[in-house]
Amino acid sequence: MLALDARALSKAYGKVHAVQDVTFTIAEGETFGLLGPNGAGKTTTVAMLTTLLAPSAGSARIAGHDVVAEPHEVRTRIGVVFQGPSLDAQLSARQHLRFHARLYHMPRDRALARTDELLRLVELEQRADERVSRLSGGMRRRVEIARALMHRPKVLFLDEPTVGLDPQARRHVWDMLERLQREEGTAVLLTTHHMEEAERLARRVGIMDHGKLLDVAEPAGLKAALGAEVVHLRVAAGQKALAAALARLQGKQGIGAAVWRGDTAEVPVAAADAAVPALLEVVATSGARLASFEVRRPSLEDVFIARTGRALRDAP
Amino acid sequence: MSDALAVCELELTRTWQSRAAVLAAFITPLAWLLLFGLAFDQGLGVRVGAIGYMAFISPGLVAMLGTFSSLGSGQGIGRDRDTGFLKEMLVAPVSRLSLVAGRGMSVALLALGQALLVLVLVALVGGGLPLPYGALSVLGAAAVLGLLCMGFLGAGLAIAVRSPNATTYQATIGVLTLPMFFLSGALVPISKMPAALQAAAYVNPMAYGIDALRTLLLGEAYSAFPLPLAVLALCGFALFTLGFGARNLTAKA
Repeated sequence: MLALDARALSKAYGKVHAVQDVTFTIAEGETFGLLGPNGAGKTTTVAMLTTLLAPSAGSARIAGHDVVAEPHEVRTRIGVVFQGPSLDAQLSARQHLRFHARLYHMPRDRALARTDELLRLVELEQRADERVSRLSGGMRRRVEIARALMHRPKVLFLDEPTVGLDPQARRHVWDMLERLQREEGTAVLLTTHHMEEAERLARRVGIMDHGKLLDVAEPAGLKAALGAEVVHLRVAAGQKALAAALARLQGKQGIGAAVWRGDTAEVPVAAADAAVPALLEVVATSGARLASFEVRRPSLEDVFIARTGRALRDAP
Repeated sequence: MSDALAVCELELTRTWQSRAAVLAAFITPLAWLLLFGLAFDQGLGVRVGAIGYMAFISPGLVAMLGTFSSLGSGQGIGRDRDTGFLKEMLVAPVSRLSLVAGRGMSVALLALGQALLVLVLVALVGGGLPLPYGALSVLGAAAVLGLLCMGFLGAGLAIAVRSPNATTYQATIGVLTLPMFFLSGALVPISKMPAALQAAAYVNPMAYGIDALRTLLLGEAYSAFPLPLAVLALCGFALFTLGFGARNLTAKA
């Protein structure tokens, strides 16, 4: 069964279409990234999928249960880490987890065992009984993640989980989320406007802009669709010999025609891993010497710019 | 029901963690009874009917304490919305009504504790309360107090969900509470108030709560409305405010 199945999900406020015809699925245990700038409709999509907002049209199922017709069934099966803070500053991490267990009707002994397990996972055992107001932003985020996992949800929603964190805290949260993917096997819907985050955590990525889902693919597939990888060969000596050799190689191993910019040959290739050995061999037999060698892959940022015509960071 | 209990337990934990709030909850009734009530009772010798002034105002004080802490708890839901903690509860498999009812239970428990303190103090230094129905007086009064708390919790919640921010909420509550208290008959029998003020008392839900408490704790001679009418008014008030508040309870302002 699919962990999440959204079909033509839409939300309109009057004439404004916050979310329009969004369709995607998440398999059990899969991490899916919704990538887009602020205001793209990611959080609205999450609000509909987590039963907090009624869709204007379309439907969605969580582990087979309809978000509109069976909100209670859906709520027992999801864990949510909201975009903004959602802790009570005067309660401790342990108190938050305890209250959560009560709300989700967990038996007491199971709740206690799970609390210890998760506090260990998010590395907060030492600070578990302090008021969360005394914890750092990254630690609070980890409390929220642990809390969302308490009742072993089928789908974990992470709405911009590292927004507002400094780079070090962000990396720490990523490490933790990767460990969690290995140990918990929960399906995850991750929304982010952070390229690296999507590439690192998500198996598949959907690009969202102006309320529409533009493209869904594996990060590598999205980049491949944008174009081939390009091998940059900067020559120290023997440029002529190399140019001739490269021309003979064209068409083999998915290697395209080299474009020379000064002392650098830019060779488009279908897949770098297949093409690089052949290229290096040609360099060696031609007698040329290289000053540098680089494979450039289009980034998700390049994909985003190509699909939406603007960069993620300066998107309004 | 277990959901409401979970919320109630959390609320009691939160209240308990704020020692100042607990202290205030029990010093306020002491101040009213011993510093205000006793002055009129024994200093000026004021009596209402057959009982001393301190005993007379005790039902009103019990109602006031319950009303104010209920309004505060309703505001607490607004605060949870502002801090984002409310989202955690709204996305849980828990009905909105049990979220509100759990708070109501915690605030009613606190109000009952305050009421008990008042009863004991009046028994010790105010000549005691008549309690015309014996144990039923006490049980009935507890039920009325619970109902009053639910109504004002709902009112606090209704105002909170309609206020754009905490400042507006506090200003609204601040404007309402004192006039409501003085127009409730808590300190002066409604029948002794000027006619215009009496009319205002008739639309004051607090007045019905105090009146029902007086019937039960002091006797019918001290009340302005028949008990069933007062209880009916309180039920209607609670249903309306809780319904309105719970319906408008959403994650965002």
